Amino acid sequence: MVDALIEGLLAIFAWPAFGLMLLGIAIGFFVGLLPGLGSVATLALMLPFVFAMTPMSAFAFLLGMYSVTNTTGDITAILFAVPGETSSAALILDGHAMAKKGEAGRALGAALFASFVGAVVGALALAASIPIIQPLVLSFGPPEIFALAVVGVSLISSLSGDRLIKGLVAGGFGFLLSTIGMDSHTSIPRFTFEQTYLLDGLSVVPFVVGLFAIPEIVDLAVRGESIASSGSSRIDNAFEGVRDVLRHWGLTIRCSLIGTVVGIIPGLGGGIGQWVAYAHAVQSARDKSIFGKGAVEGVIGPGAANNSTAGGSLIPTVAFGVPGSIVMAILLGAFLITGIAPGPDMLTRHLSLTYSLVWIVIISNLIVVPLCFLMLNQIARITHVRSSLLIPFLLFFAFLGALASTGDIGDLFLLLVFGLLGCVMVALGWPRPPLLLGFVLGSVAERNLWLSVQISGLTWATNPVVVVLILIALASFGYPLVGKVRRPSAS
Amino acid sequence: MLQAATKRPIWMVISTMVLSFVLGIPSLSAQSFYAGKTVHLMVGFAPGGAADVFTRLLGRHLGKHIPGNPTVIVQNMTGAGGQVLWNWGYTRAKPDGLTLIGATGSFPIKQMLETPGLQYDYRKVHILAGIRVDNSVMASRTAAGRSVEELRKTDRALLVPGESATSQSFMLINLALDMFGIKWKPVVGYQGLAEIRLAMRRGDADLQLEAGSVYLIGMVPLEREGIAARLMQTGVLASEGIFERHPEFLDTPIFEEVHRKITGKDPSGPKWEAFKTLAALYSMPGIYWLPPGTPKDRIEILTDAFDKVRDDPDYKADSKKIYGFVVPSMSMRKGGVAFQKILQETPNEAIEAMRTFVKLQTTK
Repeated sequence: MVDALIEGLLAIFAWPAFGLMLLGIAIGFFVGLLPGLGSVATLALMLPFVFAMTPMSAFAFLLGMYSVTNTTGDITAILFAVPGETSSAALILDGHAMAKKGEAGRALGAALFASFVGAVVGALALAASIPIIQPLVLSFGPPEIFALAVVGVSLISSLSGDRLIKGLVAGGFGFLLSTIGMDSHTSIPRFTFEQTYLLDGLSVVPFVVGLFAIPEIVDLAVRGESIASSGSSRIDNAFEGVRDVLRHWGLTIRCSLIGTVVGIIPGLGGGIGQWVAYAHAVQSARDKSIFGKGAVEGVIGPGAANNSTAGGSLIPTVAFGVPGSIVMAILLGAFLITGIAPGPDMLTRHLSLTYSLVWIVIISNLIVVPLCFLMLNQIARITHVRSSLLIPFLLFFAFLGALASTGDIGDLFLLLVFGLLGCVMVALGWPRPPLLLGFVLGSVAERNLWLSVQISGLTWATNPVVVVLILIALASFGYPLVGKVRRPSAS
Repeated sequence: MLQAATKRPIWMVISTMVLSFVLGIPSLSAQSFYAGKTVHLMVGFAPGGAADVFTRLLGRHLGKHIPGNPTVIVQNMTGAGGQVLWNWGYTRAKPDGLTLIGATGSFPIKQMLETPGLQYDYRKVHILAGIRVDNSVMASRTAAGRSVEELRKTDRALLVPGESATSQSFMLINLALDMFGIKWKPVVGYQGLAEIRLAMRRGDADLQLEAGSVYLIGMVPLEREGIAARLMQTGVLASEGIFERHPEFLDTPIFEEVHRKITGKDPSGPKWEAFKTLAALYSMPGIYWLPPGTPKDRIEILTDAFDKVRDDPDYKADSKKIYGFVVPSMSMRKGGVAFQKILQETPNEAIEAMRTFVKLQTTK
């Protein structure tokens, strides 16, 4: 196995794979930096070039590009609240709040360094767990995934702060929104109002950009000053963010591992890892009231998790051909085009190729993160630019990003609707993350619940893994409440 | 196109006319039409999927066989299982021979099943030649039974997985099981074939049916590991309208052979008609059509180009790399006639049987 690990590493440095990886990294860097222009559109654009490449070159190119967009996508989430990728949405909550306090540099430093640690820890965890991955993946059937979705829902109590009832209502509303579209169980369209656009359900990019970015842009316009409020006088430095990550090293590593596990489980989807990590950061912090107002822990958690999720989701893709996200589906296409059949062979006979993929994630981050640090302090100064200069660009990229997801004009309407909803929720003090979490988990939960019932009636509910997961869900839901009850009596 | 020609200097037009006459090139106007233009090859599914990969393979080689060597680009317009693209292609795409709409068997099936929101009529579009020919192969989980005979002996209802109650593979499996008198129950809601293969590994699915080209990549490993056993294939639709064994699956019996062996008679009845129609459509997973009203000469040129692609050694090499064999294609001029016939003259009996089947599933 060590042989395969080393062989996989050496394969990356062979020409032309390494050169193509650098090219991919360069493209990914700029795509990630442009708010709204996601990795999905870019990877799809690059797919035709793959025909002429060897498997190793193709993956070095595409995966190098993807891991970098994942890292630099965090930057726009923090600076402008416009996530470069939907997987960086959780960074907005505290990252952008820090930017508004004038700590954009520190937030960026923390997010990028956590991303880097996440990529390395996640990749090492993957490398170590490859021998047990097949039984691990096979032990997660529809009942277990349903139970995991319930665990995810239980995080709403942590994501709602002290507004639990509002959080639950928002989460429930998110669940309802996830039922829009063609129901695969009955093949009957639900709440589509005869619009073909709605048959596939609401698309997540306009949902996220509308809910989180539009209210911030409106806020920026209303305040009429720069993103960072003028009052902040403290020196802002990206390296302070690095020190924050080192200070919270336990949290960073735990969130990296959370991301890897969420990524490995097929059918759960990559967008959830960041929220689990964020909720974990909230739960493990002593002072929970600082979250949402610029807590660096709220940046470190999701920052570490989203890169390791990307690494983890490689596994179901290469070993079982089950892509965890649209990006992974494109990579799967690249596998086919270059003549590689994904399957359990990738964990045995072609292990060195699988390890190469893991190495590409590590090495491309190894190259990009230090490069980013050279310019983070300069990038952070953009938060001191007058809002009237920034707003047109931000709106342009927000709309472009929403439209890029499917190219349907309906995406723009959806962006406006969710932008409005986001503004109303902010104005009335409703937490937004539960709405998104409910929406993302709703379809996972419903689909897997129906599959479980069709396969085995109700007997699945007594599976040991399901029982344990439901208990974890109860504990995770109850824990913040218990804390709340005890605190007043203690004071 | 005539205007395009008159914009050029007159001597060029004349000399091209003379040249084309000498060289026997059919139509000047259409030929100069494609020069410097961009042909859009549209896919209704997401990048990286089976339909997308095949279209990109085709798009890579199509341009050089169209006179004037236009640039060919592959563009994805996703949504509602292809419906968004097909509606757009029928109602909004310009019928100028520059936009080719990619489709699958569900293009006609959606219409046969009266899916709401359709804005096209598959009988009125022009289907191009050079279509990919495939079969579909059915396998069972070895723990449930290794052959149809063994499956007939099990008392419990077999778990039949599907993406939805209207997906072709789901319907094909169930129609086949019904004709063999095997009990089954549906497990629908999986996202894609790979998830179903995973379910088979776990024991949550007893049967699977996939297009042959995909089966070779995805299911053969499960056969090797002893998890799945191959039962039969639908075969490919030959020019005479009968099903034959696919060249890559010469050892696998087709459904009719298995049916004869087990029941002693040929399959018949509405379920068989529905099965035949679905199997025929499944054997053509890559249909490319032109919006109604496209000029005849451009249809001819594109048809020629599709015919030439399949004899192109570069295309063959690429196809071999991806699928392990050269994906055969069928010209609408020759063997495709049988396919056209199935499309134009689908027996009402078959359509009725499909509708009844879907209704039964969706009202459960």
